[in-house]
Amino acid sequence: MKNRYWIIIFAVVILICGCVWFFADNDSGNTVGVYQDGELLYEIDLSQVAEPYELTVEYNGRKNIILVEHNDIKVVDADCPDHVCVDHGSLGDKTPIICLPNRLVIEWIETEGELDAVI
Amino acid sequence: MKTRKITLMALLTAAALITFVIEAQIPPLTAIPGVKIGLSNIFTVFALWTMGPVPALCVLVVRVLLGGFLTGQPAAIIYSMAGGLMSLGVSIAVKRIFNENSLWALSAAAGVIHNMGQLLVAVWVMGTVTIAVYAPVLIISGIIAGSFTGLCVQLIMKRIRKIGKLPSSTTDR
Repeated sequence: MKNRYWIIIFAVVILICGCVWFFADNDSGNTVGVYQDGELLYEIDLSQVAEPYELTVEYNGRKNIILVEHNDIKVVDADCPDHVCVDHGSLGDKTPIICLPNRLVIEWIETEGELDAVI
Repeated sequence: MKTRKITLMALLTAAALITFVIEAQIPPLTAIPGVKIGLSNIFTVFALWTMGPVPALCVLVVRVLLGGFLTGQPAAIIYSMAGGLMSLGVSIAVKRIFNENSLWALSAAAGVIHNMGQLLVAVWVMGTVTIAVYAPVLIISGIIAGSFTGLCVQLIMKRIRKIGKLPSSTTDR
């Protein structure tokens, strides 16, 4: 009997998290920020980018190479073990691009709060 | 008795380390940092349930430290340690309300807390709260992975008890 309660509790929690995850939306504007160790390195308006160019960010000798294009930004190469940032692809709607070992965060900068669902 | 206890703890730690290293060879399941099955926690939970909180703590700490060096990522130790300690702490605190059949639920909760602990350290390290967007996914994966490893522990306990090899410090909890 106790087991049934736990299954219900966890199912509800999973449901809630699933909904939050799918309905949370970033009001993504056009400006991205590239942060390292919490500090803003670059602020780029993606709609103004005429020619694609590359940025190289370094941390402790390890590099991330970021490709900046018109309305698009992504990490193309990284000196870290898991390459989660490269696998992330282009910066989309919901999640920032993160390189944990190199303390790198690439996210949208906008005026309103980011994480709340937009109803 | 003391020697037996130490040997048992060492055995469990070794098993945890082996599974940890093997699991580290599997390429990441998703692009989200921290999503993994966490198989080596099977032995931590087993130690907690059959030997008690202190042996479980020993198994956990030694596994996290050595595992970090064995997998060549000592930087990951702070995340594992934070997540593991928080998770074990809460597990010890709420252990009473679970019995052997709901062990999977204890493990699932432990998994969630483990991921949240890692997330907290990541937020602190990165200097920005943004990474907390991943919380919903990490909660879900924590529940699923924790349930799975918990079920494994239940299965192990049943089988080991059948062949009469359960550590003598166990009582029917």
